[in-house]
Amino acid sequence: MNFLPQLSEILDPKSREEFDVSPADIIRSYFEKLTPLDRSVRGISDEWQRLIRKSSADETGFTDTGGPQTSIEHEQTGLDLQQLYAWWDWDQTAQTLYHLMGVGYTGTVIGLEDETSQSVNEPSLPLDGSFSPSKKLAQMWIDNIKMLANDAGIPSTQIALPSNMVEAQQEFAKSLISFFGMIGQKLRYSGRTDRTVTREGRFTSSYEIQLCDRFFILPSASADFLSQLRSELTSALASGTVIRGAWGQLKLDRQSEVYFVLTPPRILADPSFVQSEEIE
Amino acid sequence: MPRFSYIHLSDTHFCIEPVRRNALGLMRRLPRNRIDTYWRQMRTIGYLSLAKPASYIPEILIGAAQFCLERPSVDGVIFTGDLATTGMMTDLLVARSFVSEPAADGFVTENGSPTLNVGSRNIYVLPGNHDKYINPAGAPNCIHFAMQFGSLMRNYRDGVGHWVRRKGNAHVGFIYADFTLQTRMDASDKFFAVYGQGRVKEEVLRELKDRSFDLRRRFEKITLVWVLHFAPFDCGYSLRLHDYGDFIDAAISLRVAATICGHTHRASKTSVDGHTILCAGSTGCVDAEEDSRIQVLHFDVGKEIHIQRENYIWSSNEQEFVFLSRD
Repeated sequence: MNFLPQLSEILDPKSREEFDVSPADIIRSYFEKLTPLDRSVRGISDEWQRLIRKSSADETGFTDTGGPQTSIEHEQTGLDLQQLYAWWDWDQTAQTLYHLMGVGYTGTVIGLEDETSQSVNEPSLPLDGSFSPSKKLAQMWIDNIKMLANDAGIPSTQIALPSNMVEAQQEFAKSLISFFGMIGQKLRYSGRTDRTVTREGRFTSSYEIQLCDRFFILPSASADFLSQLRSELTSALASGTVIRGAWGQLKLDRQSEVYFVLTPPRILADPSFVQSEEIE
Repeated sequence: MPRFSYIHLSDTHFCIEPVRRNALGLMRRLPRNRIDTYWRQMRTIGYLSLAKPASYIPEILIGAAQFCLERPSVDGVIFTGDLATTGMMTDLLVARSFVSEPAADGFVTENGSPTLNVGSRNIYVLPGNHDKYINPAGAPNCIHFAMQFGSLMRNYRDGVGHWVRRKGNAHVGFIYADFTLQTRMDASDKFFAVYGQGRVKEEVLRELKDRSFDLRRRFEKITLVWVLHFAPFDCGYSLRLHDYGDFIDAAISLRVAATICGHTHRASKTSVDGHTILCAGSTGCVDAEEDSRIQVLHFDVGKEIHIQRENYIWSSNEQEFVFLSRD
């Protein structure tokens, strides 16, 4: 069913009858084709949103079973009950969508150990270079996050983590490359001349601290983590992996130490430009 | 023909917790990703994290500071609101550091955080709805923004401010207005709409028009540009600027050349009866991770005014903003 061109017509309940569209079709098309912001841009009214919510309730028999019922939940949020139900309204819609689309959402918490959980992987952004950490390194990262959570009193099974090891490795690589890009851009425009990342077989102290901070590594685990990371990074660079961006590139010297090769700073000054004068 | 050029940033959502996400942000993502994240987040840290307004991605804001450093040939940087994710001091101070703290080395401050304050850069700011939240629950009309950014809000009184710049014989006047909510009652409902809606208040619009008449009277052939946070077009229930039609009618009748705004986190350029509306995308908010924008606006002022916009988008591959299009 080519549904989208008819959206404006379907806003009219009379037209809706003519098209013989079931509420389930409305909801499916609504969620599949339009994001909430799309709806906003297209000016789809709140009346339409209410229609969808009412329709979904009618069609699916969905009942509000999980709303914030207890005073404890109320206290945790700091919001009043009506505010919570405003959020919960969207939650209901989300559950309805799963119901209608036949997605087997199990409600289980997603963690590395339970790879059978129904989950939808986040899309990975394409990144230049092909560095990928080993499973061991990614697991160290996850283990440290879990230890931190445990110390904070959050059960390790309830942390938002990548849903499987491949995703964990992708996320780790993405975060590491982004880290070096961020440092590279700062260095590129800085007066500092030291481009060294590793020295005498270890990351320089500034990078050690920043890397542990970036990946939530506990001090007791930092030596193993940093050693493993340095080893994998130098191996990858030695085998031809390229880590680069507009900022420049990571390279290995003859002693297998990692250093930045930076793109010269770019200042796009227009010589003919004359700045205006602020007169009030 | 004299050219006035500005870098246009909006909706950075600075915050004490950089990558905090919330339900409003999640709703802008693809449904399947949104639901997955929604459930994970709710189960991880509960409803509170969903209610807290969204925040920013540090890498992208470092890129924004770099972008501004690389472009000295502009007349200033215009920031159309939602600098911070709430009007609480903890969040506003992060935004203030980005805007005001002087650069010590390249585009970073002494403590290593990015800043726009390089050389004698002119920076102009106005508040957005987030900047006026008293608390994460979105209670409106916090006064902290004016305390922190008052020195950057030129000639501000009665909800309206302005600045005028001259190049040769050409003058351009920018007049900005604060249409954020005064009370929860100004919104369509007191619970959901209060987070994102604004309202064109009669007294502020009157002051905006009076200020325009005044500048027209004092500067012959001045080109006027209006600046606000909210988008003066239909952008849905949750982001609505109530009575935006009155604003547009006034802009057209006063022959205002353009309106600059933000708020929607989606860049657009539209025209209503010859009046151009330049809406900025978000620069670095977590819900705009894959569509973070910076705009460069050029106003060529002669017998007629020509407005051109260059659009730049964040590239995670390059770790900087790259040219996207010109319109």
